[in-house]
Amino acid sequence: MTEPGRRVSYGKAVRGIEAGGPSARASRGPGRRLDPEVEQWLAGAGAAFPRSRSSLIPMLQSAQSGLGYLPGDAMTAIARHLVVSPVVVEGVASFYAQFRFHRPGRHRITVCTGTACYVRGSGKLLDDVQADLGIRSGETTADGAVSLESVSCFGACALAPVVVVDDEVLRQQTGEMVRKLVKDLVSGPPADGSRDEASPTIGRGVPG
Amino acid sequence: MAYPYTHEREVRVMSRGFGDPASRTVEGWRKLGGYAALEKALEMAPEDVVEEVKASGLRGRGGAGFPAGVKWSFMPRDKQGPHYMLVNADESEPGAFKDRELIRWTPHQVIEGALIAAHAIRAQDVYVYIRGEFFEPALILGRAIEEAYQKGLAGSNILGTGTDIDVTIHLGAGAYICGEETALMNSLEGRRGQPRVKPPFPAASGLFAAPTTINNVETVCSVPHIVTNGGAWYRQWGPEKSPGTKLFNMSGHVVRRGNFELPLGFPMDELIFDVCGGIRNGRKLKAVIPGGSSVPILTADEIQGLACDYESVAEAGSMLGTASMIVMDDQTNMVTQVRRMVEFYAHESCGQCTPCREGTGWLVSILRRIEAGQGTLEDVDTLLGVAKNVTGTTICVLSDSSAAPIVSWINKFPDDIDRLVGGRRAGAGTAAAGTAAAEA
Repeated sequence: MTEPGRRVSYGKAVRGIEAGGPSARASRGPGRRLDPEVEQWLAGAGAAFPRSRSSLIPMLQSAQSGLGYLPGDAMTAIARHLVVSPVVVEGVASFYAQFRFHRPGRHRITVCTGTACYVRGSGKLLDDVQADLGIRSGETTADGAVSLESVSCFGACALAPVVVVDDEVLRQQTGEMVRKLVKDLVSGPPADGSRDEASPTIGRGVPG
Repeated sequence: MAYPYTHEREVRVMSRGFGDPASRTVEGWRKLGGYAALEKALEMAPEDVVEEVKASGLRGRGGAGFPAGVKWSFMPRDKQGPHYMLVNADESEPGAFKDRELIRWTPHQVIEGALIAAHAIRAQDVYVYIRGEFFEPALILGRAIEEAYQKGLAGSNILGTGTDIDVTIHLGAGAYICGEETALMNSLEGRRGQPRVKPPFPAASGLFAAPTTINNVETVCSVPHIVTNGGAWYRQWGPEKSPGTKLFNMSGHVVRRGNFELPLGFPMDELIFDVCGGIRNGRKLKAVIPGGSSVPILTADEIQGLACDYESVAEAGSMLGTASMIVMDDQTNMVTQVRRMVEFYAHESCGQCTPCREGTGWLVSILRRIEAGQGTLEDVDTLLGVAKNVTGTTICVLSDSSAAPIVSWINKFPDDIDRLVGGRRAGAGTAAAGTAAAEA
């Protein structure tokens, strides 16, 4: 209490946050304005979630479905909504394989490398697709057209080897078939966003 | 539209609606006898439903084979707070694809079974935890739940009986470990999917620390048929200790791949060579993983005359598990396959127990070195040593699941590894060595 200088500067910061002034925007503090796209998501779909810890994963899914990926601001927004630390949200998000932290390509190709697909040649298939696209699994082509991912087991083992393209499950694929498909995709119209229909808010709300 | 995977020796109880999109509606499901069991069950006292399922001898279809009725009877009889019924639809085991088909073709079968189970354990909420990769099945189930609510089959005052049960879908986000029951509960609560220490068991303290029962999709789908026809009826199929029918999910190098519903105890060689039409391209059978990737492998000789029930497969040194069989022909390189499989487990380790987090990584490193032709005989011993040390030393069985295949594959198919390390360990390649390594 004998350090008036510190108290004054602290007070300034608080006032700045309350006023939403320049010092608030520049800080990483609780009053910082978020990306307008994220704010829009939070005001719409995000606000509908109960302020319960069990909303965390459904909210991450909703944000990713709406924004295409999870920018840092989306996780901050969720943390604010649920009144938890951002590190809690990021800790959960980074645990699960389906959450993306970078903007994906316009089309997403997922190759299954589970054992049932692997015995039917999905290892070579993935090598072929990587060579064709010039990227590794987990990367996006430089023109932003295609992201390539692999999944540990898609759970459709009778159809092996399975490739999922923009959420459409394709059976018994070969490198040749995927090459032709990529060619058609890149020259064709963008994905129709069918993923949104299957968004995580299906069913009856969220648990808890 | 004919379901592409039918065979005249099948006994289609749960899979009757497969291939017909009409069975996805309430009307279509009622035509197949659906929702009669729910009406009957809601008129029964919860403990009577439990007794009927106990009498049927139905065993959990998620892999462990624990009797479902006995599991239900662990729930407290005097309800003092919320009870939860969870349906485990996080079918993530490589080789397993039965729950996907049950949900896709007969979503009302899942809903009906789950509602009956919820009534039996006095739960007011059902949560269906579906893995994130199953977006199409989740969409179909979501529509079916909506229709069930509209027609008074779910929600408040179900069928005018005064029973209230809500049904909610939770979509997973890509983590194999969430199929473990307590990891699934943590995930539902908005946490990392890391398994909990047991006890307390879910019936005492599960989801939100309340009494909870968790059953696999196929278990739940068996229930309506048992309630309608009685436990004794269900026992007409299968041996004494493994009654009923089961979906066998067949993949790998067989001619006809897919789901086949057969009585438990069906001979494995007839399943592969008759029902599935044998090995493709006229090749020879090399090995079968009988119950999902985590179980020890069986050789072509070992499956001759082997009955597909829980006890018989256990006696043969493996597990029936989910009856998700990956069949491999004589061109399969076992070192490559086991390396890929262990990579899977290393990737899916949740990281909370040191033996699993570190051990699975070392198993992958050693296997990669051997596969690249840079391994030595000593590496094989190190591999088996690490496999031993990750077994039984962790909270859940994920690391055990990565070790069991290594031990059985190396000992049953020594030729593949011998070629790469340039020699054979003393005593390897015999049944005795396999047993000794497993017990060491």
